This record gives sequence, C-alpha cells and structure tokens, in this order.
Amino acid sequence: MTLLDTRPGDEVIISTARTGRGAMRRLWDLGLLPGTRVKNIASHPFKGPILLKVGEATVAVGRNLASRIYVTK
Amino acid sequence: MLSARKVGPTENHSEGRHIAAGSAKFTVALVGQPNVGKSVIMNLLTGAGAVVSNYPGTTVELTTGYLQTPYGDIAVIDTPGTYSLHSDTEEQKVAQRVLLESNVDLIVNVADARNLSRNLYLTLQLLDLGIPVVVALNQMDMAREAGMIVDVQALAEALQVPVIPMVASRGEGVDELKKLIADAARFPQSLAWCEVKPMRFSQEIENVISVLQSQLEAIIPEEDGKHRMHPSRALAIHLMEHDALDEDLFGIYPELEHFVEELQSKVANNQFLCNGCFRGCRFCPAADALHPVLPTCLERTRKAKEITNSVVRHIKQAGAASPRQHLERVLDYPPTGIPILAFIAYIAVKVTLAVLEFAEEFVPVVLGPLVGLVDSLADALPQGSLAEIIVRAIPEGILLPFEVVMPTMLSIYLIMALLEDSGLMPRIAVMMDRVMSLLNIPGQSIIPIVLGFGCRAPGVLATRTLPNRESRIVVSTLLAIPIPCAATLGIITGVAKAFDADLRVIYGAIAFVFLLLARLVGRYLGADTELILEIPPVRVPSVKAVASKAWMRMEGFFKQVLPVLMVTGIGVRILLDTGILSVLSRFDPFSARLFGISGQALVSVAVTVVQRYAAPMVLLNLPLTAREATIAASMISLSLPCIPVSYLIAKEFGWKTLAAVFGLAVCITLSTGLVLNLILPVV
Repeated sequence: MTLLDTRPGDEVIISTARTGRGAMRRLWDLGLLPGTRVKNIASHPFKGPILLKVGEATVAVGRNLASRIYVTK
Repeated sequence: MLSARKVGPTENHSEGRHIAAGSAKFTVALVGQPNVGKSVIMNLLTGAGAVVSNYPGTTVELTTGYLQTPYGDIAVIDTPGTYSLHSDTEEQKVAQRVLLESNVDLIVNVADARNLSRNLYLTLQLLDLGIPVVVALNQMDMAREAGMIVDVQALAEALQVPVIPMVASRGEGVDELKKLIADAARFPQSLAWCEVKPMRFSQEIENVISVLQSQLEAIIPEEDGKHRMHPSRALAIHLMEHDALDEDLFGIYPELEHFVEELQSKVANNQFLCNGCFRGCRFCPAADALHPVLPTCLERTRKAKEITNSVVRHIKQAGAASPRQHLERVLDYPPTGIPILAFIAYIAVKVTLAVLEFAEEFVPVVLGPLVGLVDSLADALPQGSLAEIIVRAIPEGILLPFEVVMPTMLSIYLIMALLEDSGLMPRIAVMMDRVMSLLNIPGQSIIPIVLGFGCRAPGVLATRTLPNRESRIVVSTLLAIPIPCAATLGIITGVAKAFDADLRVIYGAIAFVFLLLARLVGRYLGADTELILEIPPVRVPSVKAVASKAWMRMEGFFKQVLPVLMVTGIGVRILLDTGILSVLSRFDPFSARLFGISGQALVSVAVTVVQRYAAPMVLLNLPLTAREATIAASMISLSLPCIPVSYLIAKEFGWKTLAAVFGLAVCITLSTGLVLNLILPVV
C-alpha cells in the first residue's frame, strides 16, 4: 500500500519511495526515510495534501508524491 | 565571488567581507534547518543593527549583523534555513556557498531539540567542513512538552562539540552562547573543541574517500590556502554526493572537472575500483536508478539516528495537551482548520486594503504643503516650458509611491511576517494547494496573487516564498499580465463608469487570460508543483521579530522600488505634456480597423507600460463609445507590466525572462483587442 491509502489516525512505516533523486532528497531532508514510523493526522478533502506526523514534526505531502511512497502497517 | 582561487588566505578574508562587511576579524555563521528559531537567535545576538541583503545573484535573503564583545565586534551571518548541505534548492546553495566562500571562523548550528535526528544530519555534514561548530539546541521547552528529555552532555560527547541548551523565545541560553562565541574569537587556536572531528564512515566508504582525497590534494596546491576553505575530505565527500554544487566548485578549481571525468572513465575501464563499496556514489559502476540514496547519505542518517537514540529519553507525557497542541489540532483538522484559515486570509487582505484606503486619504494631507510649494514654483515658471513640466511632475512622482505603494507594501510585509512567524502561512499554503494545483502552481501562490490585487510589485517580491524558480516565474507572469492591481481596477471602474463599458466583458477577458496563462506557462516551464512542506508549530509571534523582519524588507522599497517609481512618474508626465505620445494618433485607421478603437485610445494602452495611473488621464479625455471603452479597458488590463514590476522581474529572474513576459504581454493585449473587435457586436 502507499501513503495515499492511509486514513487519518493510521500509523504506518515507510518502506520505499519510487521517486527521482531530487524528490528523494527532499523526503530525506524532512525525515521521511525507509523504516520511519509516520502517522496520518489529516487528509485534505478533494484530493488535497496529506498531513503526516514524523517524530515531532508535521509534514504536508501532496497526493501525487504520496502515491509513490510505499508503506506497511 | 568565485574568484577565490586567485587570492591568498588574507585577501580571501576581505573577499568574505563582501557578505559580512566591516572591520570584524571573526565571522560566525548561523546554520540550521527551517523553523528552528534561527532568526530569533540572530536577533538576540546582533540586536537591531542587522542588515538583510540578497545574496549576490540570487533572491535568497541573507542577514548580517555584529555581536559586540569586549574583544571587538564579531560578524554574524544568518544563512537561509536549510535541511542539509546538498545544494538542491537555492537556499541550500546559498548556505553552502556562504560556508565555502566567506571564511567563516565558527559555525553556530541551531538545532531543534524535538527533531534531533533530522537536525543532526545537517550537523554531521557541517563537521566535515573543518570549521569549529557549536550546537545551539533550541526549543528545549517544546521538546519537554512533547515528553522528550535530551541528555545535552551525552550529545556534546557524541559530537565532540559544545552543545548549549536554549529556549531562544525566552532568551534562555543566549548568554552562554555569546560567551562561547567570544571565547572562540579570543583563543581560536587553544580551545580543544575548535579542533573538529568529522564523522567516520564505514571502512569501505573511507577507502573511497581516501583515494579521492589523495588525488584531490595532488591537483589542488596547498599554498593557495584553500584547504582551509575546502578540506580535501569534505571536497571528496561532495564529489561523491553532489550534483548542483559542481559547477561552482569547477569554477574555483578547473582541474576538478578533468579529475572527475578522468576518474569516471577509469572506473568505466575497470582501472579504478572503489575497493568493494559499490553502493552507488557517482564514481560507482553500480550507480543507477536503483540507488537513489547515496551511501554516504545513508550512513550519515544512520549515525544521526544512532546518536539521537542514545541521548534522547522519552517519558510519558505529563497531563493533558498544551493549549498550543489543542490549537494545532483544530487548525490541522480540515473541517475546522479550513474555515478558520480562510477567515484569517480574508482578514489579512481586508487589513491591507483598509491601510491602502487610509493612506490614500492621509498621505496627501501630510504631503500637501510640499505639493502646494511645488505648484507655486511651477506657476512662476513660463507655461509649457520643460522646467514647468518637470516641476509639476515631481509631486506626482513622489505622491504616488507614498500614497499607494509604500503603505501597501508596509502592511503586506507586516502581515506576511505575522503569518510566517505564527506558523499560519504554511497552513494556508496547504489549504490552498488543491485549488492552486488546478492552475499548475503551488498552494503558497495564493499570497503573492492576493497581494497583486493591491499592487503587483510586492506580489512579485512575495513570490520568494514559493519553493522553486519555475513556480515563481509562472506566478510572476500572472502578476505581470492578467492580475488587475488596485490601479488597474481603478482604471477599469473609472472608464466603465464614464463610457458605460461592459464590465462583464472586461473581467471575463481577464479571467480567461489568467486561466490560460497559468496552465500554459506552467506546462511550458514544467513547474514542479509537488507539495512537500514542513508545517511548523503554531507560535505567538514576537512583536520585535515581526517588526524588524518587516522593516528590513521595507529597506528594499526605499532602495529599489521608490526611485524607479519616482522616475517613471516624472517620465510619464513629461511624455504626456510634451505631446510626444500624440504622434501615435497617426495610427488611427490601422487601430480602428484592427481593434475598433482610435489611435489615441491605443496610446493609452501604450502609456500603461510606464505607469498604469496615467492611462485614465489619456482615456477619459477622449470621446469613446461604450464598445471602444470596453475594448480599450480590456487591452489596458492585459497589457505590459508597469516599470516597477518589469524591473523586479528582471532583477529576480533575469532579462531573458522579462523579455519573454513582454513578448507574451504584447501578444495577449493585441489578440485581446483583435478578438474583442471581432466578437463584440457593433451597436
């Protein structure tokens, strides 16, 4: 499953991301690394961004990118 | 800036002063990730005397100031917030270049105690540079609030650098930081912690680094004193990891380019092997799309996590959530957050407009005596003479910027600083992201676009909050052409009232061009609208920080925008009064056939180039039919950007971009006239 399949309240662990090196670095910069536990705290309506809790930080990820980040429960 | 190669260490120092000007002998750089409270610490260290400037050739703001100590002034450079030293974004590049070029003597790495492992990634990169590092571990209070206890002593031991726990918003830890900086400036050689120990990678990677390092040392002569700026180890790691910085480095060390090419061809011919690392650095034969993460980055991340796990203890959160956490929950929950944020954005726009209205009434009263003085002076001069025209033009040139542009910019900058420092701005961006993505632009664009309805010049400046150059150009193009500023709206309503023009047609044309341009330019530039944005905690902004931020940005108005506005205002008056523009009335037949308006009306379209406010001066004095007025007003609304905006676009994005915007604007205004002339029924 991908981040896109998570609902608000779900906690998942990131396994991989199928992105280019640029987007990958931005994910790494914000701590969205493989093995990291993240929590979906809100999904904006009308296919808006997803808000994630990564450690103590909150990160907004667009749907497009979210659909390329693979996670496990 | 990149001429460092030709100068020795001492001259180099004065080169660095390009950024931190003055007589200080010791330079401190504040480096940290976004939202760690870096600017607050900057304020505490240097006080009000700090200056914001653009880093040469970029739009990234750099703040410099001085810390006064008994041993002399110490220059402090506040670098833009950056998550890492990979030069992927403009901010990162500037942070990177400041560290390479400014002869920084000490790095104060401001880190967020709540997100330690992410912050330590940057810290570990900084340790590679061979410059002494102090970690200012900020937001200790929020970490505690989140149930985290950081063992500061253990962290200092793990990194082998001093770590100062801070709560910068309350001034805690600042004195210790100041003392440490002063000590470093006073005894640069004798302090043990000034001897930096870079992170050790695994043996296989260290092998690659040492091979690269010995080759680098052979091609970069030590006598240049450059190893102080680029330790060969840091350079070797850069070469394994970086893409974007290469151009700069190759500029300083042309030999490097050959070196990299040679090494890559050796690797290709199996003449150089990395002793079995094979995990995808740029010299690795195994490097491919399957290894999007570089081995050094991977190990650095692991190290950062490892240190974090050994120094952070989680305790059960005591009691209920704090008011701040409650507020964040409400704001970040879409059903409650969206209406609240929309209301805040609405208030922000309302306040800006109210300030504008107030200034329009108030400023002429203040400047009235001056205008009266100039008028009496003009009366004394022979009528129609150039001197008289110029004397009359001056108050117009002064009044307009102070009446409209300055108050708008001041209120906009204050509101922007408030929204930024309170943590609301990124939340508004997230809220608007979906709507804006329909236009191929990121959610943050809502701010510059809304500002543009007041005055486009600050709108263009506000595009600096956007994540990438492409998006900035798209939004600036929208600001330059279709978005009607207050002045344009004034023209439209004025002309519509006077000639009974069809407002629906005018606004329809603007909306159509807006949508068309957003989609087309965005697609053409391939703007990356992929949202990935950190949402900072909600904070009560400090009045002092907001005021100083707004004020420092206003300096740009006085230095850049004001002179341009004054000169153009005067220029327009001269063009109008000397009758130079009326030459264009020769185009009457041509203009009437193509656009259905007279040559004189076409003149007014041309006049908007220099000054939008001048257009009605021309238009209202002409005998126009409703149809002509509709066409002329539409063409004016969609014509070339005014000079201040053109100037800003050229400054921010270069002359080529400006030329492209001009070309587009000419096409759009002419085709608007043509199309409307064809489709509007002749009454």
